[in-house]
Amino acid sequence: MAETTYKKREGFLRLSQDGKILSWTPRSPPDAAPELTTVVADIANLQQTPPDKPKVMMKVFVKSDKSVEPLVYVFTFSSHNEARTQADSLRDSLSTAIQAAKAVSSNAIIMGQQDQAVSRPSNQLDSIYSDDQLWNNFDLLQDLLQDNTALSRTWTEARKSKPDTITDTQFNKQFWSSRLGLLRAHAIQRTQRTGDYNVLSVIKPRVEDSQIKLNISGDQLTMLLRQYAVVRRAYDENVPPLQEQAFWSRFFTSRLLKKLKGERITDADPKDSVFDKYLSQDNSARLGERISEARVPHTIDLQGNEENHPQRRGNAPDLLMRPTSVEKVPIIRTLNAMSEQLMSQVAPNDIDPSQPIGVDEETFNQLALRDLQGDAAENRLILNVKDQGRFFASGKDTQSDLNLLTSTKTTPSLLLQKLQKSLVTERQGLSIHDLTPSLGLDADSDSDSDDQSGIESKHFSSHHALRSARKQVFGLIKEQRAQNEDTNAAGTNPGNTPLTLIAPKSGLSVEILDRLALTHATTIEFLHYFWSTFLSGDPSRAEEIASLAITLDRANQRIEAVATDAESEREIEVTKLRKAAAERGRRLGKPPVAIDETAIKGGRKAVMRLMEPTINSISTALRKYKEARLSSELENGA
Amino acid sequence: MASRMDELDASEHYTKESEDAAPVLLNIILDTNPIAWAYLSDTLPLPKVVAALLVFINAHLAFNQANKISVIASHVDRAEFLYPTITPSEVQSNEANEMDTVMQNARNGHDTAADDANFYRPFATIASSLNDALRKLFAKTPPSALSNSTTALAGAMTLALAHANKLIVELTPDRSTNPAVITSSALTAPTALHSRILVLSASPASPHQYIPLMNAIFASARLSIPIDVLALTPTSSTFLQQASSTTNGIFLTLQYPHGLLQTLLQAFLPSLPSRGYLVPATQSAVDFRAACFCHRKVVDVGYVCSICLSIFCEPPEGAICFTCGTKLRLQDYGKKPVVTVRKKKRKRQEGDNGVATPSGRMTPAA
Repeated sequence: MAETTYKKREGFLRLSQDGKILSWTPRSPPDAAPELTTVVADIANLQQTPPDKPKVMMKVFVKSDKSVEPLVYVFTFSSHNEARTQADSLRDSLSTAIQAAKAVSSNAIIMGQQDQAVSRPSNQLDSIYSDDQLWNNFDLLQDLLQDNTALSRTWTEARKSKPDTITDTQFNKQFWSSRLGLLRAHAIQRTQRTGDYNVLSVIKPRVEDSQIKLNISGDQLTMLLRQYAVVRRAYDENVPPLQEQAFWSRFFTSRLLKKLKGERITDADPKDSVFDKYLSQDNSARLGERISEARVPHTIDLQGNEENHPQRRGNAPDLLMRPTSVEKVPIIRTLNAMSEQLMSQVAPNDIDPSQPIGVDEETFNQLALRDLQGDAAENRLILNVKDQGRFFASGKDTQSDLNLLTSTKTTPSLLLQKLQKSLVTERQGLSIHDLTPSLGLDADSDSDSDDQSGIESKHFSSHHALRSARKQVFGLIKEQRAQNEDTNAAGTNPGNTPLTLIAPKSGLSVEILDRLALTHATTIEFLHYFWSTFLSGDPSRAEEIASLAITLDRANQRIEAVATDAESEREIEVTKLRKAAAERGRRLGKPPVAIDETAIKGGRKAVMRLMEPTINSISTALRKYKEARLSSELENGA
Repeated sequence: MASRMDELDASEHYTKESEDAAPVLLNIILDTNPIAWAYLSDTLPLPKVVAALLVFINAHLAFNQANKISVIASHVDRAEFLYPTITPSEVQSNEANEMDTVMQNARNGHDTAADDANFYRPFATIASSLNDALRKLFAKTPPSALSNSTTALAGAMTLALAHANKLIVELTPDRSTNPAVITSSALTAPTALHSRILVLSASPASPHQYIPLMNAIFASARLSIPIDVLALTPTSSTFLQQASSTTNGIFLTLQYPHGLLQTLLQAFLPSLPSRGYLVPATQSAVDFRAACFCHRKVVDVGYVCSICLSIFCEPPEGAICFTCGTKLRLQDYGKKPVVTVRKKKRKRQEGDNGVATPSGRMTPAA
């Protein structure tokens, strides 16, 4: 409760008893109703003038539904002596009230979330794996970089060569913005847990210093209790009187453990008063469960029908799984039951879930009674396609044809006549089926005679023409084969990385190729960055663009560097060959044989050929940048 | 006393299908645009092409007795079957028995055709009917039809597909209760008939036909019918490259017109089953351009509606897609790249520097 002035009127600022409502009443008229009330929960912020200022004011920011901006109320504390104390006390009580309100509301939110957690798990997952969360999670980034060596090399290399004007965060953001898929997959992979396993098989007591010790982790204990309902029951019933330690140590030496493990119980085993009564209960409990859960009518029991072998006397479980009174090899049943239970929690991975159980689609379709079923519901989405006629209008596309027409310099009717005549003349005078003359094929003539005549035979299907056509087709086949071979070979031999395959063909060594691949990756990275900033049209990123242009220049230089190195390597090869030829010449006493230097592949030419598309894209990017720069300068200057 | 021998022997070996190669149906689409042929008449006259085509057809038929052929002419304003044709006289006399109709077909040409003993009759039949049909086609075309359009390629492809479908359904052993529909099981089962399409194209494809052409391409991709294309001129293949690449066909531009027969026989003859073992002689670079839906312009980079995937060369008015009517959100388009720091505020101009989805990377949904 404080004397305050609001909008130049005097009044009192009050906080209600329960701390929920803040209200301001004007002093005159007396007993007036509070003019201003806000619910404390809606208060977003409080501000107060610092203690050393003479004037004491408090600003209250209230969230309102009507406007985006919070409403601001300014109160000036006008009591003569106690303005500051009043303000302070009011502020303290207000802040506690706000905290309380917030706690309540956040509790409500959490409760609400938990309620809806089951129905909307995807929302929570979205928030865990949303884009922002992913790339802010440095831990995740580091992990992924460690896992994926190629990616980490690209990252470090690009970081090294980035221009200094681009900050680290910007660079990171850009780098990961195109790799969010990888991040997400990695994050999901990290949160995977191993499935359940049979705990009892893992727990083994050790013998130390003639004492039997056993270590169980908390996890294992919970799994144990979950997997074996008997143990849970025993625990619930016996532990308050018994100590935990005692319970577990007795359990692990009892006959019950042996039974659960499936081992045979001999008379030599110690009897335990607590656990032995559960020995006989075990079976009946499970049997009861099984019977109760298996009450599915036979006609719709798909699972049962799958196991149904009428020749074998009914729907009884597998021979090994029958409950018999004689405990010959109980371990089989136990293990089978345990595996069934564990596997039921895991999604199957060898069946196609869309297929009906037990039969494949073919037989299912044949067996299904189709006549009585109605029409299948159309699972189509309606596209409201308007005016489809527009798509099929033939339209007057006269451009190309008029050109053709004018180039042949005839009118349509003449054209047609000519064509008709040509079709007829070819067939006159000969049997129409003897196509040899019209084809110009001459089986007897030799290709040699054609060549000797020295002129390209112009007639149809001359040998020259046939040879050239053949060459063309073989050329195409060779090209296709070269492309297909790379992909095929890379798949068949796992030891071959793509680099080791390209190496012999291009004549470059594997290290040069490695460097080239790295340069390529970083160049592409910077090109991405350049284009996304360039095309965003955001004026604030103009400087980024400038620095990126410099980077692209540097990328060109890097490629040059690799090319020069490759060239020097090639020079070594060439000199080697030359020396060998000179040696041979000296030995044989003849002048050295000229070596074909062009046969040695590799060097600058190969590098340039491999990187040609990248170099083209860099020059396109730089060109576009220069154009934009020029045009903007003209506009600015004009 | 019933011995085992009396029981019906329903063992597998009687119903096993023959291991011989399945017959192949070859549909040839011949572009018969007279303007284009007039253009080509010095290097590659039409009669010679028809002759080469006949040799090719004979070779195809020689591979397997059951191989089939069909030739469709894609003319300026329509598509027509050149072979097999039904003459009007046959349509009238439906009751006439088959012998008559066969003789009728053979007698369409000169009388000497069927009787010439030097020639294998099926080859002779095809040759004569093809030549006659072609002659008739040109006789029917009025000169006025030439001024307006290019070849009706989409129509011809649809005809070919329908013909192939009809034959496949006729010859496939009926496995489902609904024989009129090719179910997926029929497709994956060993088919009785393979089918392919060979297009000999001489004129540039009209962008107006882009949509029907793409529909035909997707349909044939679904039916696993490869579309091979032999482009007779370098410019005559705007959208056909996409056709071959989508349907795993072979695309070739004829470089040596005089070697047409050689090219045909070497690159296009192998049948479908053998293509799995051979390297196809197809051109590697594919022109993936498309035609925009609004103006039929050929576009390289354009705008695509995310609902119905229709292509536009520029954003449609009101940002409402033509085909499906959804209001589209335009994100970041038309912003001019800012490379220098400006002192004054300027209006943002809409240039052609918008962010666009390159339609070159658009892959068909088949």
